[in-house]
Amino acid sequence: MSGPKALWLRVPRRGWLVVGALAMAIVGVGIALRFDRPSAAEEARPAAADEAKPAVADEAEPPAPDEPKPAAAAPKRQTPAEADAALEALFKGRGRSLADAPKFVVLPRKDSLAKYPCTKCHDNSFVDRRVRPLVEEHRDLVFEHGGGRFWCYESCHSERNIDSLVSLRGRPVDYDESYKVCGQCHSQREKDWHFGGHGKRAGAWNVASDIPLTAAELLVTERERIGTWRDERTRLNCTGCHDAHSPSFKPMKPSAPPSVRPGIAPASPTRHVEPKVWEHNRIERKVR
Amino acid sequence: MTATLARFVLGGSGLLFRGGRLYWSWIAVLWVAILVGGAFYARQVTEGLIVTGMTDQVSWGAYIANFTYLVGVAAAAVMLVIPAYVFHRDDIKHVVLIGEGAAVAAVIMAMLFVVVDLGRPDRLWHMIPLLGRFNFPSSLLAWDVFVLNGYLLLNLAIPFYILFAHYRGREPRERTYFPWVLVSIAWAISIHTVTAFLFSANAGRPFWHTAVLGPRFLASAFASGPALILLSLQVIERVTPFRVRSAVIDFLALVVTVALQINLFLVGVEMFTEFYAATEENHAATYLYFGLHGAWRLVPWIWTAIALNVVAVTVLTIHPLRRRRWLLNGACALAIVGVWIEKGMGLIIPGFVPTPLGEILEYAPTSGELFVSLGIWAVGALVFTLLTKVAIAVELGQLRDPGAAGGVREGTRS
Amino acid sequence: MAESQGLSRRSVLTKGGLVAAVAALGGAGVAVAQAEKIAQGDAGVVSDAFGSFFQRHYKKMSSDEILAAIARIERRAKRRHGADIDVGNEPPLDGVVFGYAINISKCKGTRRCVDACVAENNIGRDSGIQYIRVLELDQGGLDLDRSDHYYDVDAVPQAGKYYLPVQCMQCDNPPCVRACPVEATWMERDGIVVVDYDWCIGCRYCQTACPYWARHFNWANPSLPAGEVNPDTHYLGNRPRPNGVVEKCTFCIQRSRKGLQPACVEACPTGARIFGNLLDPDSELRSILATKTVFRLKEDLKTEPKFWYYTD
Repeated sequence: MSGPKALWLRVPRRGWLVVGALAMAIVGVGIALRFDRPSAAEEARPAAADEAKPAVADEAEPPAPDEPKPAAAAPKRQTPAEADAALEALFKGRGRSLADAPKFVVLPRKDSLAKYPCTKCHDNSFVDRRVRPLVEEHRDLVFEHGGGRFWCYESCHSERNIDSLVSLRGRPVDYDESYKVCGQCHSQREKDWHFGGHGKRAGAWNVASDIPLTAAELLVTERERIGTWRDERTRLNCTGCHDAHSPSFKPMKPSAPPSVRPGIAPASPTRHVEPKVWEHNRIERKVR
Repeated sequence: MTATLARFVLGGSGLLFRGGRLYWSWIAVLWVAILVGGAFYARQVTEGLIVTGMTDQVSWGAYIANFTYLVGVAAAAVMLVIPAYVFHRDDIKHVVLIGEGAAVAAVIMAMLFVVVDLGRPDRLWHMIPLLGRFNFPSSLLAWDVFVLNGYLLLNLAIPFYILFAHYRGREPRERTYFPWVLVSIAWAISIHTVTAFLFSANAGRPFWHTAVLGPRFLASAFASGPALILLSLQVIERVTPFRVRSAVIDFLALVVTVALQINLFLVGVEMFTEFYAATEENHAATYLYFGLHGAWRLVPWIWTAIALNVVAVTVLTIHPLRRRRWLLNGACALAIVGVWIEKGMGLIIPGFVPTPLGEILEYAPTSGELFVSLGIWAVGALVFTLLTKVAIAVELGQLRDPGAAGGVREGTRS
Repeated sequence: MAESQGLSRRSVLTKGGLVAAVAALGGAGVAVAQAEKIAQGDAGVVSDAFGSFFQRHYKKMSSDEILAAIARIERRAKRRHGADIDVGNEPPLDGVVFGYAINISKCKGTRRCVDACVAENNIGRDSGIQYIRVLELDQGGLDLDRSDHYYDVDAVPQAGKYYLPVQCMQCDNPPCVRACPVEATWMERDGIVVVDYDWCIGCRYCQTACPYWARHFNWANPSLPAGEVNPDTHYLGNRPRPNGVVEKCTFCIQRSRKGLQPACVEACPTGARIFGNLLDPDSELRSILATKTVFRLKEDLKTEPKFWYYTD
């Protein structure tokens, strides 16, 4: 039974050490090479550097010559409805559009406007577009909106129908949908409002200025008045909280500060004012 | 057996009513303090905790401060148990029962301080497992209740077994009690570690949320507890025929010395970590040591405590000074008071100032709190007195089973 | 020998009797004090006192026991505050986990939310407890140490300041729940961390554990004027609380489990507060969390608050 030993038995121990070291070296080099390969992200990114040429060069480029100019044909007239539909189709599905917002109901405004309908006093045939202080009527109206860029008509109020607002494109906007006018300039706010990051749901107090001052009055015993966090959203219009002509919130008197537990003297107020870092930074910065 | 047990209990109880003028005047003083404290506690139970100085901002005060300190004193009995039973030092074995009596008194005081701190002590049964709901092992307070009760049982059972054996004129069987002694050694470390975890578990309170709190607790416990035992042993020597070998006093003095050195080192470590990179996490430590935005009430307390500890450790470290008994006693007294301030008010209150929302409201205990605290300390002193009275009588051979061979000897005045 | 034993036995009995008498007197004193306290609250109705003493944990009670407990609470409210209240026990709604967001660009520090909360939740008027605390901070940083809790000015917002209201964050990983030794506080299925006020022993360890200072303690008997009691209550929410227990914001559990908005959300004059269901991807709250600059307080503590702050 003792024939010649198999080859692998005849190799001395040193030999196996060399083989093992070689194997580990190969494996190690293989691993290092694997990490050296570009990552998937790098592979996906095209050689974009070539394509992103600075746009400056293009401006100097003259328009393509030798192209026959087409005869200027009169474009077909679009009805307002067709225009609206075309706009909606153009902007559908572009990012987070207002159409993606969960449906909600807007609390109507017209029934809470004291001076509506405006045709009680206004005659749509006579329009006074002059910019002047309003001394005969609308005397309590404080106008602090727009920074001097606009006046009543065709900025927000319609000339052709005083009972309606008007958009930048000249389309009429109902008073109950006044957010469509505000959202033209305050588009980010309108988007927040549609999705819930701005504004309030209708609830116990639907006008911010009506919220009572004392704690006892803030107790709502008629639970039907309280708003819900679920079910269909009923949101307040922009003008439900903001005065359209002077929209920024005015400072209010805050409720009383908290008290310490009875029987304990309150701590004497120490208004510790720490200087800002640029005020107490004493290191001279030498400019080279 | 039960007859002997009954005789032991009755004989021991009867012994408690035999004493001289000094004994009875001491008991009377204690009872006055207890009853006054009880009256103030009754007022607290009626009106609520509003009679204390605690607020939502500082919701733990003098009661929990005393509780923390006393758990440390209770743990310190282990410093006598280890040399007595593990290293078989007979001189310390002679006094170990006194140490365990002190531990029992301290644990009872600690538990009483927790009870008087509760807003609804009538609902204490809610903590009993199965009957109520015991939030173990999640709540550190549940852990604390568990380990304190276990420690109390251990420190009642083991000395009871040993004393009962001595009462019958026999030696207790080492095989019976030694495993439990080992358990009680580990348990003693655990009660104070769990109490430290009670505080360091609060991630929202950076003053306590430090790993060094456990070691600090143990170091200060082993500084103050043996100091108290040391002083009590000398008082016992003065008023009873019980003799304590001076080697025991020297050993305890050495324990106090080393523990106090370690404690001061840990305080220094804590101060460095808090103040080197002055982040806002150290605002509580700033309040404690230097005052914060005009709130300074704790500053004199903590520096007094540090001064007392430094003086004490200096006296104790210098060997010739430690050898003089009056200097030793003075240093121990300073250490007891210093550790009490540093671990009690100097640890609990800064954990609450400023609040997690940055508000600073200081705390001062009311007179009601002080009287209730004094009453509980008096309860502890009473328990200690009664337990040691019986233990000493048994150890001196004055209380013996009349049914046994030796018969009873008329006890001398103790 | 027997004689000396007999003498000692007699002396034991007499002296033991004396001690027992003194102890009994002391114990009687405490018992009288306790009975007085009960009497102050329960006007001598002993059966209610016994019933509430043996009342079990909310999660362990059968529905009959809960009804009995609710009846006791209603009777006690009538005796103490002179008000007829209705204590509900609505369970958590399915598929709902409540969340909250505050827009700190809009908060002006008016503290109307604080007042509405006190009114809605039957908080003791003289205890000074307020679940919501509005912090006034200097613009340029979020340093709670430099916040002013007690600002008392004629008009808010003050220049150079912004306002940060803080209340219970209803953490998903609440340290207070871990801390309570008797499980008197726990997180319900809809995410609200509640307290069983009839189980709490008043140890205040939860108050110590809370990193947001959101839990408050009844240091005295809460007093409520009869005309200001909110009769629509929930057992785990705004039912009148006894002395010596911890309470906190419950996202108006008596309202939110019926689909209504919490009082603070209603009362905010600037619409800075948003409340909703975190599990509903169409909710206002989820859209805010997806699109706005959002942060939570003390995120590094990993308490996972269900209370966010965002800016416009």
